[in-house]
Amino acid sequence: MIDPPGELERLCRELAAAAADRDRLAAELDRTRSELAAARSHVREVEALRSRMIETTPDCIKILSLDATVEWLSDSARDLFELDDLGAVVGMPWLDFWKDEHHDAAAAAVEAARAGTSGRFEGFCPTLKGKPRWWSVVVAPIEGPSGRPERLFAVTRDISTLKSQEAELRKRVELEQLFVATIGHELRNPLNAIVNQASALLEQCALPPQAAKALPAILWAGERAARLISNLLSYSELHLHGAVPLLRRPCDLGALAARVVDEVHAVLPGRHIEVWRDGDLVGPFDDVRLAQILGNLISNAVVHSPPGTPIAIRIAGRGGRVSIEVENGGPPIPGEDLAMLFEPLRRGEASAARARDGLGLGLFVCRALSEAHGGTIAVRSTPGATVFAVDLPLG
Amino acid sequence: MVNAGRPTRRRILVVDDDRDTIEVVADTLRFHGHEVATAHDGRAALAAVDAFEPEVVLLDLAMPIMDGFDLARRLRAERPRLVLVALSGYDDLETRRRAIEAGFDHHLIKPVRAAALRPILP
Repeated sequence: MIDPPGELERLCRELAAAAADRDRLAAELDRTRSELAAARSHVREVEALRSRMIETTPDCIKILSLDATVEWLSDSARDLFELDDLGAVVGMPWLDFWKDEHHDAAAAAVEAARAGTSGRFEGFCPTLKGKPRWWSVVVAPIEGPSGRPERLFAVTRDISTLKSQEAELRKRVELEQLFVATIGHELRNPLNAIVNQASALLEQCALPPQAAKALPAILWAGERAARLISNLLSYSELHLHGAVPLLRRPCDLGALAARVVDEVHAVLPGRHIEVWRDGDLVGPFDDVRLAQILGNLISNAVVHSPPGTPIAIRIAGRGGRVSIEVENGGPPIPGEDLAMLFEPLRRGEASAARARDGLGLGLFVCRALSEAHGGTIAVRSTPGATVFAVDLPLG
Repeated sequence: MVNAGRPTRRRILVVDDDRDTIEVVADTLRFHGHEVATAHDGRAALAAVDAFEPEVVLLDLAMPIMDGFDLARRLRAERPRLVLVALSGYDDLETRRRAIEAGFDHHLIKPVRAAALRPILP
């Protein structure tokens, strides 16, 4: 049979094209094979890395089903949970390991992971052989191709050492506070005897001039020591707990100020201290702490102004707030010291001023106690007048 | 000044296990015109309240046999009109809260000055 003209040429062309297609497909197959080999190699590397990470991490890693049944757990569980046979735990409900409030926290973490976020908690759960252990736990979702959580991933870290260190630290802090409170109490008892005896002598006896001069000095030293003890105790509470707790009861600030000034007058009879009261001054204040603020500010005014100059205390209640101003006529406070005035244990001041002001706790405690009442404290100082102003909400 | 001038004469019982403190507080109150009795522990204080019929009791909180809190609770239950004043070296919140719960009307922190006593004597 003779092909029509050109048929042979067409067949040759098709054959050549088919050969070219075969070569192209063969090249593509080679490329795909090498990509597949590279992908397999990458998977092996990732798998090796994953295994290495799981082997080397001190944490226990678990895969849970969505209903929190244990499906798989890493080898570290043997040591962490004192578990001889990992298989014994597979298939168990993970939440059954947790009790009471720790069970609730674990259930909440599982719920969060089921919802697509992650849940974290710290919980107590003994090992299978009964050793007490604290754990830090993260539960996260493992999403399937649909993007929805299909299983859960739980990482458990042993924080028992950290917890016992925390407990030890807390115990030491409590002991320190008990120590400071006991010292304060023990110091106040003999101080009480000194102040009471000296007061009685000054008030009730006809004294020779030297004693009449010495006794107010003894009493003023007693006042300063009493204030120092109160400020140290407040500083200790602030240092350890970050706040001085208040016991608020209805309190008349005007009457309180008059009492504090009476106490100062009793030991500094020559000092002119005036109290000006105006408006509504009764509010839910902690009377002991406000007496401490006033005592500190008056003592500060006495120390930092010349003996013959007056000290004015102005207390005014208006618009739901009360302001307490304590003014003295001492030299102005340098601008660079103003910013540091309410900081504890100040070191920047001239040594003479520091020597008179003791530890520099008084104004720091005043600020903390004002803030605890929801108020503020500020100072303005010009030649002839330095004013400390406390502003408090009245309700 | 608050309550300046001579205060009203009151019958005051001072209870403290520290004999030095109690005597000087009692003397000071007597000097200011009050009638004063003393007791050194809770049990003696209960007897003194019955015998002396005070209007005001100044109580140290830390005492042997019966502490100031227990004594205050007893006195508050038996004599609601009695003015109870705590004298304490402790000014922490817990001690002050316990004192209020025990029925104290006032809580004075040592050292206690006459100026602090004057406004709270009825």
